Amino acid sequence: MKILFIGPMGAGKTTAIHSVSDIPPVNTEAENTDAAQHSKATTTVAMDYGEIHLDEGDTVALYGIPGQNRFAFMWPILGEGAMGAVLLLDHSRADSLETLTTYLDAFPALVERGALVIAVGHTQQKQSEVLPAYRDILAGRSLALPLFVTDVREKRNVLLLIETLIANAEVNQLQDAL
Amino acid sequence: MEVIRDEGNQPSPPKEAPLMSIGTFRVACRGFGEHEQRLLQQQLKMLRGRTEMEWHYVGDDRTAELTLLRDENQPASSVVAVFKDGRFTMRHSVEWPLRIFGLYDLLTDCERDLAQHTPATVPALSIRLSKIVSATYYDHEGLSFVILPHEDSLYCDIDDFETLVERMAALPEELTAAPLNSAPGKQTLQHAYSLKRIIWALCLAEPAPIDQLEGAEATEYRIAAWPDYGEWKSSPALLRLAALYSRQYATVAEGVEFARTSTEDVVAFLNACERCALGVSARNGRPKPAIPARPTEKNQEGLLLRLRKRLGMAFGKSNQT
Repeated sequence: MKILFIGPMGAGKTTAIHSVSDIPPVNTEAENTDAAQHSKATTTVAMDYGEIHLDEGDTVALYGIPGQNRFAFMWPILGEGAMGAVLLLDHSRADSLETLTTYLDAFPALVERGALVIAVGHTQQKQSEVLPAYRDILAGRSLALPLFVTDVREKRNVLLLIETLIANAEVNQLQDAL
Repeated sequence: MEVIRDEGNQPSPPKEAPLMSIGTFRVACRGFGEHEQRLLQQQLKMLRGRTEMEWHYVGDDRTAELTLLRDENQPASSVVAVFKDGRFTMRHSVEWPLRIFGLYDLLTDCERDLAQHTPATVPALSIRLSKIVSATYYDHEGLSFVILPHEDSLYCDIDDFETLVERMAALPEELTAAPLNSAPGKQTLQHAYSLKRIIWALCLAEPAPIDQLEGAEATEYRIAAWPDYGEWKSSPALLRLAALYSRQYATVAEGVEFARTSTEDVVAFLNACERCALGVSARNGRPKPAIPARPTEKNQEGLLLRLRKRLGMAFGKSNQT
């Protein structure tokens, strides 16, 4: 079983995986030479990897997929077989709404199964000020995907996102069984 | 249209269908075929938005505010419309097949009749809060708060959310607004909370009308948007209910089964979604296969359950927050 953390550079994918992984996350941070996308000093050039260990030796793999647009060709491949994905958006970026649209288009299979939870971060504004614009995009596509304002530096927030994916996966199992 | 009072010869009480909202009325019939029922549903759909209240068809042989039944004492082209006011009190003879303008007249007559006969009740606080459209001030026994609905804000002098909800839930039903110009300033009412977060919490705490839910399996519900669980109260069961009702139409009973929670909790959840404007829609249920028996621990659901357990997200009646 695998869970993806997707989103643009600097949205918090590495941080989110760090907060819940049972192993020291494997990451591939390198000096950021793409200052046009984000000003942070380092960025993930391959992918982050973490694990949640279950009993009986089972493992839930956590993948943080690089958000640079030039890696977009990899996204659908990595999405195959995933229980779901957490899409982290950086509300402080001017293009955060366009980013949502990009990712909805890039992961149609997950969107269709409701297996995408959208987490809007990097904001001090109230939810009622932040969320309507994102909700409008979802409503325009007749999508009822989970959409939260969150801060992934706090573990309980990341757990809420994962729990939402689990609940959705359970609905999918129910539908598959009927 | 002839209107007659009928205190006797009442039909036996049918199954109860849920009344989920104070703005919703139910239509039922007795003894009509599938085609006739479909026709009635289509006519109701066409009239949606043209009547004061929203009318939902709840099925054959169910309790509703308006019930259509064949009258054996009348010609074959006539049916009787019965208005419910706790018991069957009013009957209208109407022609059948029912034309859409005839149905419109019937519904508006029924609305007028129900307005006259239904005793005035004070809606729950969460309903009243959800209907506030302009700045409003309340002051009752030391609890003062100003509501600014367009900002989704409530300002008060209580710095703890749970305490605020507890005190608001204890407010008297007859609470009335105070003059806005008598409200203290923001220096006194310095703590701001999301109004919808409060409405959500109050809805979950208010008693749900489960006495109206007998036989509710006929009505299915769906929500158009997820609750803002990043801010509003959540629990494993509430997350499951949101996942279920955002993905498909489901009955209250299916919500109970899927979230392993109580009927009261599912009704409270749906009421909370409605009052927080999450786009609750209802429809008459269609036959569906039963929810399959729980798979064994070795399969994928077993894996999800173990992941829940590992992350401390177990759910069920004993695990709710």
